Amino acid sequence: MRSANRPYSKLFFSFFSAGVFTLGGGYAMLPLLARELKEKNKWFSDFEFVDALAVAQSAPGPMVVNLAALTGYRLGGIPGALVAVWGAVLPSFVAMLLVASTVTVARGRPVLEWALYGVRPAALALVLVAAVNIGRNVLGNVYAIAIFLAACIGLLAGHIHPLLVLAGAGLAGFWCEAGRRKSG
Amino acid sequence: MSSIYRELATAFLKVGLLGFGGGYAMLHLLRQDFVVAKGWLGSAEFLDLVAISQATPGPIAINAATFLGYRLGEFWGALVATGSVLVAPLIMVLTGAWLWQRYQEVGWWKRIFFGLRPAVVALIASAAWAMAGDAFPDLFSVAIGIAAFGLGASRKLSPIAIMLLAAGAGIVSGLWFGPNA
Repeated sequence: MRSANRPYSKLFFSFFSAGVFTLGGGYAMLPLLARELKEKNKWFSDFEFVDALAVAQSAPGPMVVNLAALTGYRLGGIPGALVAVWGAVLPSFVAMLLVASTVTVARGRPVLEWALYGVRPAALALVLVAAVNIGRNVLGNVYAIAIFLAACIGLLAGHIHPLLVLAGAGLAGFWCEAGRRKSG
Repeated sequence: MSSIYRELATAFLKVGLLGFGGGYAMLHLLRQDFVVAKGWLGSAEFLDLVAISQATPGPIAINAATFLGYRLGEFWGALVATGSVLVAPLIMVLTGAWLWQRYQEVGWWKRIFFGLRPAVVALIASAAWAMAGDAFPDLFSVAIGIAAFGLGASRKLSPIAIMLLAAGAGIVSGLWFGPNA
């Protein structure tokens, strides 16, 4: 949309690398995606990135794949979306074909379990980095902090479905007077 | 189209359509359908699948679709399953993207997103919370977590380098302390 030449290969490789290093949950690659999509390629502003995440989380399916579709669509329409999604899915597809066809290659080899032992806390740390970075931009006023806390309580203590939490937060934002004044 | 492909397509279309809440929500649906209802997979096999899906690159739901599709219908089964699980999310997210492009500058839309943004932070934070149960079996893993957070927050290393280092640290500690580390 911004330029005539559509950045298909950049789109593909941004999401391909996120796909390769998505281990044990997609949120760990958020810092990588923030870097690729916001800082390197300037496809999103800070707030646009958060808004894109909100849309990605409102649809079913893996967050990384949804974010790929959204980014691709924004930059290159439906073909852009397909290229980005293909990039995000290809590493999975190839890796699982290899694993499924070689049956028990992973079983009984502790190296994989050891690597995961290291990867799990690091993935969690990267998710926290994403939460802190995005939170720093977003939680700048008392209304936003109130919605954040209410959403945390709903998700963690109330076990409310994420979709309902998003719906409630959207409604809260809509009725919040501050929404009109400060969201721009 | 032979019947296994049709079965795979229907099963994964349904999982894709109902899989709000990301990979783990989808795994739960798959278990209900494939293990409990259809009996295509044993309980232990399903646990293997979950472990393998976590240990291989990519979103868990896609890994599970490719794996199960391959087991039941080889390459074309994998392709059908993976394609099917993506259909519903893609239609919905593209509709969302279209609405977003169209209404981004409109007042009521902005007000909704004013409320959504803090909820996004809450969803990310709760994803971290959900991972905490498996991530910290001992002190060394806590140290890896703290180091990764410091490196990630200071932006000295790319997230990819951090993941590789963490995997390396895990392997070294495994070699050092033996299989129970």
